[in-house]
Amino acid sequence: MPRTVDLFLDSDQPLGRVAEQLGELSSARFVSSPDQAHFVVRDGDVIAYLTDHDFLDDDDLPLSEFRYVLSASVPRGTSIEDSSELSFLRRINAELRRSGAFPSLLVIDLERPDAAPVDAR
Amino acid sequence: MKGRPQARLPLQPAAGGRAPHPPEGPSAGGPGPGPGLPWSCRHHGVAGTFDEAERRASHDELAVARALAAEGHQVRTVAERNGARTPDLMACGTAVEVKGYQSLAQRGGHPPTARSVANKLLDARGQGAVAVVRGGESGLTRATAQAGYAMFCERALEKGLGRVRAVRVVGKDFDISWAAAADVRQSRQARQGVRPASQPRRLLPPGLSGPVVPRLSL
Repeated sequence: MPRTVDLFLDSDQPLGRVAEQLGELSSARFVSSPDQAHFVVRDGDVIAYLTDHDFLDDDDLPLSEFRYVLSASVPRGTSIEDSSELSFLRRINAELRRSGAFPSLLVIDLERPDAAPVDAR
Repeated sequence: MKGRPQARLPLQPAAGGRAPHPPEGPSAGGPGPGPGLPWSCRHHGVAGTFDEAERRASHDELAVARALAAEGHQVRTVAERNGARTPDLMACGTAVEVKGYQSLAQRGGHPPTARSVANKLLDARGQGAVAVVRGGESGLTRATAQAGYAMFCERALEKGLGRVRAVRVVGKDFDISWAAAADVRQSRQARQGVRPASQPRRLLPPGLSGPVVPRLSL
């Protein structure tokens, strides 16, 4: 039961263009799957997948307002708060906020928004 | 977690005597493993085993593994593969994905919503044939689980079930199983105006709406 960190982001651009823009922002390389259905990015041991999603809105998580999600699974036995996955997605989220490229929402295990303020990341 | 016995635990059937693998069919409702679960194995009340040698189970995984083993299955944890989505457990050859919740206190006193249950199930689609949501100490209720399953089916009707064939939700005082693949198939047929000859159309439980006709094992 790996826990996940999900960075939801919205854009009217197609997935490939969003992957390009995220790559420019994060200086990471987003690689397309053969069927172009998702992109994968690696940062050290962290592996995250960019794709569209069909999750439902839940209380303070308006997930349907965001077309895409960049998801990373935290290895079992690792604290999610101390994980490289959360650090990586917080970094990208901070870059998104700074650049104003896309609206974004960082969510922990599909249960709660990330509590850390963007400026503190 | 230290001190937990490791590797191949022989487990006794749960106290209270739930019969493993109840007969299939519309009358097979009730708590515990339901008609929709995909196992063809029959264990006739013989306790199964739990093998934790490949990977140490989390708290939620351990609880689910013990329940499945008590029903007779041969259960083992599955090692992680870097970057790949893997199921949590294998039980008699069937991939099982476990989804858990934070405690009610950790959730700020807010129990999970139906949409949260649906999201957990949607997230499980890439991993296991059986998705088990464990409410634990989150305050998840039976009604929320039922409504969440219906929402999941509605979504799956449009977007697909992925690898999930059956769903089980276990809370403090309930344990419900559904045949997700059959429910979605029936709903799709109902939407297309096809009524299976042997399956009468069922009414939605009170409070649920939409085209989904969940086969509740209650």
